[in-house]
Amino acid sequence: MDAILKIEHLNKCFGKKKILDDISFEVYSGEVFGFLGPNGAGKTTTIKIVMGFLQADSGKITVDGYELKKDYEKVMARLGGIVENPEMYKTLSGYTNLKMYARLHDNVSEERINEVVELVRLQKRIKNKVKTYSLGMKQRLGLAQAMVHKPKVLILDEPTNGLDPAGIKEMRDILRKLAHEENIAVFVSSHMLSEMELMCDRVGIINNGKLIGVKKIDDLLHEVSGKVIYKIFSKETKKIEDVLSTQYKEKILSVKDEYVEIEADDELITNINFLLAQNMVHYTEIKRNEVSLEDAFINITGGGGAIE
Amino acid sequence: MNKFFGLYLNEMTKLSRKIITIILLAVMIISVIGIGILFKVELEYYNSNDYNTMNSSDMSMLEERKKAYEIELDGIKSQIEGIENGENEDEVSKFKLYNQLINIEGEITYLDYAIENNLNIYTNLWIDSVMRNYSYAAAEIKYFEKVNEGYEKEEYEATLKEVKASSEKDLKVLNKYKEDKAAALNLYLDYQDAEIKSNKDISKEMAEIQLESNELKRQYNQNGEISTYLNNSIEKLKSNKISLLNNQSDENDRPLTHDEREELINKIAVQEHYIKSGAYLTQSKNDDSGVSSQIISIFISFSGFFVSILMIILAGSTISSEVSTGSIKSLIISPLKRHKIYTAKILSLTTFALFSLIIMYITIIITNQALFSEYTITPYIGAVNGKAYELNFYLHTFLLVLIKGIDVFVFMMFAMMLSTVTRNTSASVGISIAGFFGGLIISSSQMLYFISKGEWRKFIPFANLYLEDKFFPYSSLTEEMSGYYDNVGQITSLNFSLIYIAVLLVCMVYTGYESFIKRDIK
Repeated sequence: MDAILKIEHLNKCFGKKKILDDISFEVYSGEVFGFLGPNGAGKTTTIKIVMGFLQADSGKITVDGYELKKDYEKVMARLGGIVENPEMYKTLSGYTNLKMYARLHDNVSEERINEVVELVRLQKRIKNKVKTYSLGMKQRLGLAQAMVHKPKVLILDEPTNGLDPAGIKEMRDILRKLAHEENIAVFVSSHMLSEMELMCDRVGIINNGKLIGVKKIDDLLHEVSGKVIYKIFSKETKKIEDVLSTQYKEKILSVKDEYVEIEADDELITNINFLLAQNMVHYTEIKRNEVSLEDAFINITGGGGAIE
Repeated sequence: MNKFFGLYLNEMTKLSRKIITIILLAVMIISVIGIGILFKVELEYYNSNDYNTMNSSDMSMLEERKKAYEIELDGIKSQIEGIENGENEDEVSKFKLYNQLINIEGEITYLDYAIENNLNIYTNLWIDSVMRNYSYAAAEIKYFEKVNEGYEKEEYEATLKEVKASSEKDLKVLNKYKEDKAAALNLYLDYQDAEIKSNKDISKEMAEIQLESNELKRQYNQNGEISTYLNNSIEKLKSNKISLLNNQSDENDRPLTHDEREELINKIAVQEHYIKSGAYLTQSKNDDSGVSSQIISIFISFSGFFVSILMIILAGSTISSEVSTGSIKSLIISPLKRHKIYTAKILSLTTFALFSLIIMYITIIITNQALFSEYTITPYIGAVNGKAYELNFYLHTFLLVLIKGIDVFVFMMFAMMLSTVTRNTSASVGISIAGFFGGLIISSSQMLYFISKGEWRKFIPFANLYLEDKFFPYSSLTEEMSGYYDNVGQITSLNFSLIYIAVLLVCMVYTGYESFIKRDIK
């Protein structure tokens, strides 16, 4: 696969504060690439530099072989996207907005506009003024705008923001279809791993302006999953500790007043259950607690970069 | 190029869909029509009055004046009596008192005559001066002995004869006025002509100028009346010609400079053309307010006001409002460099300003045609190298609108620069409008002219805006002729102002470009 979007050694400061620190990664045609990180990690800043809003202090960005600084117009013609929220001219209709945007690109026919409108399923409301749209409709109109000129790279900043579950699923399907069927590189940023899990092929994780790593989504999931924790709720937590500590001392994670936390698989928990019954220990509930992707994510990023 | 045209089209779409555009253009049209109707009503009121006779309030005012003089007269008479009875022997004060007596008696006779014949002393200037001369002469003859005691006999009699002769002439004119007003005026002018011809103290050229001026008055003698306007312009023409003859300006006791001489020659050419073309005959008959001649300029400054505000608002929000609503994003992600985006915005605003000016022109022409066609459709008269030329009314009005457009353009670019640099709509619109009003106040009060004589004034922007008077220096001639307003306050020349404005625009546009291209959009 060819790297259609190449980012090399990107640096950016706002005043004295370093926002991006030597960011480098590649995005390939036909994949959905997730850009994952907590709020304030530098996702939007990276996207804004690629889209021409900000100028990088140093670094090189190439799209389809053209360098951003040298061939600005060629690069921008190959990009489409939404930065933060899609903002349209509210007093104009959705269709006028699309048409105005289409005028700025070569060879966008009326049919193409209708095609993308159909793709995002806005046919019924496209002639209405944008100020009457819901957030989800604006998001979909933004997507239509980003795609209308058939870009090679589609860059979307938090595309599922403000969408309901059905909308999120729809958005996800559209993006996967674009990447896998039309061979577009889709570059998506998000702070929610659970969303990325279902959408992306590869994920780059960014925190405090540094790229921690780029991984296939399956590898990432494998790394963080596999551990199951059980909580045993009881008034006799001391007694449970005594009973279990003879055989399974290393499996006890913590002992609290209300519950005991134990790392176990299916077989082990059956044995423990039996052991507790044998020793006449009373308990109210055994709760299975899977390690969430979010927890794993927090582990990777070291507790999140939002609070600084 | 194609994409750039698309960008330009987009900007036009955005501007034309803004509510403020529609509102301000509508207000402009309504205000032009409204102000037109207001002036129409005022003009009708002026024209409905009869200016040959006085109304009752004028009349009673004259009565009051007469009564006051009569009381004063009694006082002086009793003082004189006292002196003559030997109570006070001061000869100088007696002489003074008699002179006062003559003045007061003359004034009373004059008022008596005006009241008796119901003549309007405020408008028909020439008959008023005849009346006054006659009354004063009558009083002078009555007390002639008293004030001219001690003169030699020959001199005494010659002077008395002269006074009597001129008094007789005045009486003849006054009597004639009761029968035939036009003939009375001609008679009055004849006497003046005879006097000029017999006067050996003045040169032949000077006499010619004065005779010419009387001839013009004779030409425009409308039933014994010359409108105030026309009379003043004939007088002004005469005094300009005399200035040129003596090579000395009215105000200063020094010879004219080369430029002043050229200007005076042009002025005379324009004034002569004005009078001979009969432009004044289309003016309202007794139009003291000068309303009709100023209607077009009032229309233009009033509607230009709204167009300026509109363009300031549109330009002052052009970058900043897009940044604050975020819609700038769809421009930035378009495959066009930022300088092209900025250029498209400048071009679309300029097109829009021109479009608004054309609407303004059409509104003014239609309103004028509907309400004032009998007053104002007169050409502009200018002069080059001492030769007068006429400029078609419609073309002249269009050029005036375009010249207004220069101011609009300067303030528009100023607002756009502020909008780009501050990225704050309220600040850029507010500052621009404040500057606009400040400029109007400074220029209309002639503040710069009176405040200082320093050269630095030339570099104040407001001294170089509002170019109507510099492009058409003779437009204010009507005001000048009627004696209300002398064309003061032109600190800078037209060429200097044009260069200044060009430099100013380049600086503002450059600042805007730099700020828009270089700065991050966060």
